[in-house]
Formats: sequence, structure tokens, C-alpha cells
Amino acid sequence: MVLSIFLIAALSAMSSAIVGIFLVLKKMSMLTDAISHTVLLGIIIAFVLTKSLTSPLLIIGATVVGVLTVYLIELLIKSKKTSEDAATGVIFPLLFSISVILISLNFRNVHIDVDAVLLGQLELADQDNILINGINFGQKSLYIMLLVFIINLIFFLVFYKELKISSFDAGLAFVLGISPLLIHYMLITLVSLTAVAAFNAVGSILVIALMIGPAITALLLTNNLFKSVILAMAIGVFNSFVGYFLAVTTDLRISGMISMVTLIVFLIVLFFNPKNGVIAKLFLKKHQETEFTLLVLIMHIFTHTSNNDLKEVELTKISKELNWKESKTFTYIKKGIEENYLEKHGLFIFLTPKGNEYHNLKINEFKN
Amino acid sequence: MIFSSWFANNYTMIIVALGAMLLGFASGLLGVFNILKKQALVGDALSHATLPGVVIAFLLTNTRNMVTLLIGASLSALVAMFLINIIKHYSKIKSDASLALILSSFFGFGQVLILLAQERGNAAAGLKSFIFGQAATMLKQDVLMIAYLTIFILLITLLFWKEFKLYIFNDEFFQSLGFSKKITNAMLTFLTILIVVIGIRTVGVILMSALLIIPGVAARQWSNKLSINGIIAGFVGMISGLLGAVISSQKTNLPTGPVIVIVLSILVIVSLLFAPKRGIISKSIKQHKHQKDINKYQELISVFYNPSKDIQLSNDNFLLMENYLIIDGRKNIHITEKGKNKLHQILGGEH
Amino acid sequence: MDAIKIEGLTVSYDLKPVLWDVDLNIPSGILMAIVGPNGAGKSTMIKAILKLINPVSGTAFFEGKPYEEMRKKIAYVPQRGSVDWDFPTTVFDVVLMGRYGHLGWFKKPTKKDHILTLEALEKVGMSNFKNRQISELSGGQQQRVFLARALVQDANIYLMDEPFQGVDAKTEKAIIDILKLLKNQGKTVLVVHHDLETVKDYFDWLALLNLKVIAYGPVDKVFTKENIERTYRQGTISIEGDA
Repeated sequence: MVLSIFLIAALSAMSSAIVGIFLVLKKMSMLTDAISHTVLLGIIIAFVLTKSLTSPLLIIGATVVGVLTVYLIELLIKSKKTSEDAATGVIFPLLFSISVILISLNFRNVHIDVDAVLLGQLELADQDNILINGINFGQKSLYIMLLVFIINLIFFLVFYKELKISSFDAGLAFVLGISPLLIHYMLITLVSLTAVAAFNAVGSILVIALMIGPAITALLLTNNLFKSVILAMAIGVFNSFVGYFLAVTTDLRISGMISMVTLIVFLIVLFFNPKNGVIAKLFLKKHQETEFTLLVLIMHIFTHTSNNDLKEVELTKISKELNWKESKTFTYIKKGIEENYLEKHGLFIFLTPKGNEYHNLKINEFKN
Repeated sequence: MIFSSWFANNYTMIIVALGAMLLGFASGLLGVFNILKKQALVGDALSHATLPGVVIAFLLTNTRNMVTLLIGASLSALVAMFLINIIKHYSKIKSDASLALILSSFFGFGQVLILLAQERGNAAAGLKSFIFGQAATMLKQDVLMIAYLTIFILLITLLFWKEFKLYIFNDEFFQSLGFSKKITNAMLTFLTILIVVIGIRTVGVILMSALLIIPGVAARQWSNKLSINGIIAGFVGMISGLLGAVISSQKTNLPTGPVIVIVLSILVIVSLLFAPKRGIISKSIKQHKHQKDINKYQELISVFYNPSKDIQLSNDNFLLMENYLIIDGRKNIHITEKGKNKLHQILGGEH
Repeated sequence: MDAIKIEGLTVSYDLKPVLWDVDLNIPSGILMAIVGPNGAGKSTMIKAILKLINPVSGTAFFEGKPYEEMRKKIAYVPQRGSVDWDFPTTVFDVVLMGRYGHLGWFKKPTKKDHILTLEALEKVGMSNFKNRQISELSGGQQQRVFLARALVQDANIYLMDEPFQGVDAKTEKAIIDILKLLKNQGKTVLVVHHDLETVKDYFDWLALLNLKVIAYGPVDKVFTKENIERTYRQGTISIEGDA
């Protein structure tokens, strides 16, 4: 039981990561918000038609509604009557509100718990087992999620080239004979399918976090598309593991905890990534600013010494020339002397040989 | 007599309706600016992000005092805003992705806390009304507070109107005139957070963004002037707030948020279809008429574009009869003043 | 006294220099072009002296005074592309916004501002368009509106960023006529310009810019084959200058 719940979460995470990377790259992250809200309507409509909560038609119907949602949003965008983000914010609230009203009014005796809608019922996933000839094959959700994962994986591997090109340059894709539109809608269909399949287990909110969170965490760490997908899957699984563990320890909802861990892991990478994390950047920026400012001073002295214009290199004149505060000039001259780039003779500042070298080195750097 | 007793019986509902009307107006109005700033979905992220703050405030103070809960909401919205800005500033992650992550993780956290609160006691039942909104169960003093804050928001928006307008249109020029981009942006953000925080009890965290966005989209179809846009958006929000609050209070299980959104959606669909210049139906009617005109006046148009071409006109051609064209002694065709006016009407623009 | 005096202006972006040690002494009453290859720092220079971006070092004086004191006498015309022309506003409104600097925070435009706006629209030939939605304008018309917005500020110094970019010939002529008129009134006009062909016809002074100031002064003196080659040579100019 424990393992199967974790497996469902992990498979949801991996399926989501695959499609999530491309959504992020195509700047369509908020479509996950739209789709995850509207699949509920699809489920309700399918339920009304099939009178059963477990028919595979439910999954198909809900997926179709998800795709339809995106189609409507894009229709609205194409009509140029409103901007992209506003279009999203117009379509999905309507579809979602209809679902909520239908549920609230206990329409046709649909009894769906709102919490389950939003957060899923991962804990109860092990109650819906497949029994064939009396043999328990395990949780239905597990098989569904496994199937979806395999579909997503195959899609990713088969269409990798096309996905890559159409994510970065739709125009080029078209010219090369790849239909960006077709790839786009295949992607959207899989996003919708994944959202529906995961919905039952992890709820609509976690679907969004699973699709986007690990993906952007991975993109902070690598620029390589293939690597980022693999990494996103790994991070998704990791988040699920930690989230599950925390949920069990604190007796809180598993899906909610996973979504929190997703954010925290992202923030940790954002801040502490040695390459370009926030802390690294602040450090580097301060250091580079200092270096650059010192260089300005050195260049100034170089120029004016070369011109045999000794007057300019007088201490007091430097501040005026550069329009720096006296204190700033003083600080940087001191730094220059400390680094042995500059030396002071009476009232004048000169470059040392080391300073000369440093100057020429930097000039060459800037030539590139 | 009858009216006054109806009034007395429905006193609470009237207050609630008035509060919802004010909220809708301010939200629609402010939303116009957010849409133009291309930050329509920031409201969505912020409203979802208020949930943990509300619940934590409840868990810490154990009261359902609206002021306390709203302070909690503001704080968690501010934290979310802070994170969104950090992500934008220090990484190449685009804003839509960071909004999606903040939205889902904060909301997920909030949901988890609600379930936790539910286990602790029964007072938590009220917290659920923050998810989809429940206007009918609000206390009178809460509604009054919402009303006062909303009026405050309206006044500040009007005060900063020209600054917001120019800042969003051309921020560099705005700065060059001596204004501060930072202050103006902070003011807009502050007002947005405030309206979101005020609105979540009525509309719910999930659908608050709809009350910010949809009125502006509807209004844009009717007018090209910013001020008119604002007023129409305000009215759309106001009507939706009113009808949503009233209708949802008639049935006990019906949350307010979705009903408001249904009204908003009807209004925006009507706008998209029927607005005079931009509406889809209006455009298609115009298109149809234009096509008919081109057919009817085709000879007139031919003469205009090809004056030297030999065009045969029978004597009873209506263009001659009605003086759009004349034939002179040398059998040359000329366009009359009337004909020129008609051409101008059909072909439009300048010649 | 110089209209604009730029001293030792150095600007960097992402720790690479974009402008290096720029010195310019620009007299008043001239029409001056700033020319150079893309990315040479032309727009950056304008933005830096307007304090829209922070330089690493250097400063600018306007009629001998610092920018903050002279702000009301300086008009900036940004690039047309820096604006979303789908914004719901009319031609009249855009030009009226030029008066906001004189109004300051919170005050509403007065009748006087409205009159000045109409006058400015008249000068650029856009009076008939005053109620037109700006998304319906052509490139040339948009540029005229931007110019009117600057005119309405009643400034002494005009800083314009690529005003002739993507503009029809008729509009270009109309704009340059207005700029010449301003010059004759003793105003100083600085224009970031992209078209070498028209420099000699339009402008009195020229500054050739590529990271550094290659040369500047009266057009006849500065607009030489040698200078232009030096400016547009492939690869960045070295910072210490050529011997």
C-alpha cells in the first residue's frame, strides 16, 4: 500500500515533468492552471452521460474538454480582442464555475468532495483495486498513471527533434516541414490526459505544481533540453518522496506536502546554485562591480599618463574628472595600491608595471 | 409599508449586495490597469497565495475576526509577491512559470492547513468560504469594512489615474518627466493586493482573478478611451457582484464566486459578440454590407480605378439615373460629387 | 554656455562597457545627429544623461546645471517601439500626457494644457486625428504624435531616439522641418539617427559614436570617409583609442 501510493505520485511526477518542460519553454505554464480547472467539468459531463465514475470514457471526455479549453483560449487570442494572459483568465473561470455550481447543487446526485477535487485523494488510491478472477492486480490509478507515463515517454522520444525545434523556433519548424500546430496540439492533448489521470490521485492543484515546478528547477541547472527533461523527472520523483515522507510523519495531506516541497526545492536551487543562484549572483555582482570601477580608474590614469598629461593624474583632480565622490576615489586608489596596480608619488598617482599589464589584459578581453 | 418590511427582513442581504457591488466596481476598474500592464494573471497567483495566510492567522489567534484573517492574507500575498520578484530578477525563468508554481504551491499549502485546522475544531468551517466565496454568510461589520476599504481603493485609483496611465503606457517617458516608476508600481501592486485580500471572502481565492480580468476584457470591446474602459469595467464588475451575491444567497449550498463568474462570462460574451465596432456579430454584419455595396456599385468603383477603361453603361443604369456618374458630350464618363462621396463611404480612408 | 556638457560618461551593461569615457560639449541652437553602428551606445547615452540608467562614472550638465534642475526644460522622445500602440487612448490624450511633467503628481490637466495640446497637434499636422485611437495610426503618424508630445513640453533641449525609423518620406520631411524650426528658435536638438545618407542634409552637427566618441563637431568637418570607416569598422573600437 505504501509503495503503490508513492509509485502513483512518482509516475504522476514523471509524466508531468515530460510535458511540463515544453510548456515552460513555450511560455504556456498558465495553461496548466486552465486545464486542471476545466477537466473537472469534463469529468462531470462524462459522468452525467455514462452514469459511472470509473468508465474510461470519463478520462477521454475530460481530456477532450481540456483540449477544448486551450482551443477556445487560442481562438480568443487570435481574434486579437484581448491579450494572451487575459484570454486565459476569461475562459477557464467560466468552465470551472459551471462545474462547481453543478457539484454544489448536487446535480444528478453527483457527490464529489471539493477537497478531493483540489487536493486529490492519494491516501485512498489503494481502495480502487482491479480484481480479475479474484486476483488483486493492484490499484487502478497506478495502472492508468503507468500507461500515461509510457505514452508521454514514447511521445517525447519519438518526437524529440520536432518538439525541440518547435519549442524554440516555430517558424523554422514550419519551414522544415514539421507542423508546429500538430505538435502543439499533441502536446496539449497529453497535458490534458496527464492532468486527468493524475487528477484523481493528486488533485488539480498538485498537477500544476508537478508540471511546472520540477521543470523550472531543472532549467535552472541545465541548458540542455534532453538533460532538463531527465533532471525534471528525477526532481519530481525526489519531491514526491520527500513530500510523502513529510506527510506521513506530520499526518497531513500528501499532495499538499508534495506541492510545498516542490516550491522549497525550487527556491533552494534558486538561491544556492553555485553557478547562477541568487547568492552566487549577489557575490559576483559586488565583486565585479568593484573590479570594474577599479578598472575605470586604472584606464583613466593610463590614458592621462600616456598623454604626458601629468596634471590629470593629481589626486584631487581625479575625482572631478570621473565625477566620483572624493571618498569613492580615495577608496579605489587605496584598493589599486593594495593590489599593486597603482603607486603614489607625492601628489601623483601612477600605474605600476603590474597595473600596466592588467590594463592591457582587460583591453584585450573587451575586444571580444 | 410592504416595502419597508421587505427591507427590514432583507437588511443583511441588502448590505451584502451593496458590498459586493462596490467590490465589483473597484475590482473591474483596477483590473483594467493590470490587464494593460500585461499582469493579468498576477492577480490569480496573489489570490491563491492568500490562502495560507488566512489559515495561519486563524490557527494562531483562534478567532474568525475578519481583520485578523485579512492581515494574514495580506502578509502571505506579500511574501508571494516578494518571491515572484526575486525569481524575475535573479533568474531567466519567465513570469508565467513562476506564477504557476507560486499559485499552486501556496494554495496547496493553504489547503493542507485548512484540513489541519478542521481536525482541531469546528471553527474552521468558515475558512472554507475563502475558497469559493460566500457572501451571504458575512457579518454586517465585515461587509462594512469591505465597503470602506473599497471606497479607499477607488479614491486612490482616481488620485493616481494619470500617473498609472502614463506609467503603463510609456514608463521611460514617465520617468523622464520626473515621476518615480518605483513608487507608481508599488502603489499599483499595493492596491491589487488590497483588492484581492478584500475580495477573497466574497468571490473566493480561486475566482478572484476573474473579477479582476473579465470586466476589463469586456470593457475593451466597447471603448478606446481609458477612462470609459474603466467605467464600463467598473459597471460590469458591479452588476456581476450584485447579481452573484443575491442569487447565491438564495440557495444554501451555492457559493458566491462561481455565480459571479457566470454573470461576468455572460457579460463578456455579449461584449465580444455585439459591441458596435469590435464585436464579432457587428463585424460580420459590416462585412456583409460591405460586400453587398461593392457588388452594387461595382461600375462606379471600376470607373474610379480605371478611368480610361472602356466601360459600357446602359442609359437606365441606376448610377446614371441617380447622378453618381455622368456622361459628357464626348462619351467620357465622370464621377460626380455624389459619386465621390459614395466612393469615400464604401472604400473608406483617404484618397 | 553649452546646452549639453557630457563629461567622462561610462556605462556598462552586465559588466561589459557600452559607453566609454564619453565627452561632448554641445552648443545651443544646433541640430545634432548621433550616429554609429547598432549597439554602439547611442540610445544608452541618451538614457544615461536622462538618469534613466545609472552610469559607472561621468555626468551631464544642461545649460551648466544638473539634470534635476533642468528637467522641465528637457524633452525626451523615446523610440516608437518602446510603446504598445494597442493601448486604449487617443492621439489627443498621448500629446496631453506631455504636460504631466509641468503638472506634477495628482494635479489634473487644465484648459491651458488642452489648448497647448491642440496647438502642438496643429504644428505636426495631426489635428484631424485628435480623437483617433492610436492603434489606427501609421508609423509616420505615430512619430508625429510623439513629436507633438515633446513640443507641448515647451523645452529648450530635445533628445530624440531614432525618430525617422520606419517613417514615410512625407513625414520625415515634415519632422525635419519642425526640428529646423526649433533650431532657429535657439533650441538644441539631439537626434539618434540611423541613416548616413541624410546626415549632411538634415543636421548641423554630428557625433560619431561607437563605445567611444570617434569624432564630433560641425557636420562638414566631421563627416569624412575616414571618420565613418573608423566608426563602422568591424569589431569594437579599443577603449584606449587609436594612435
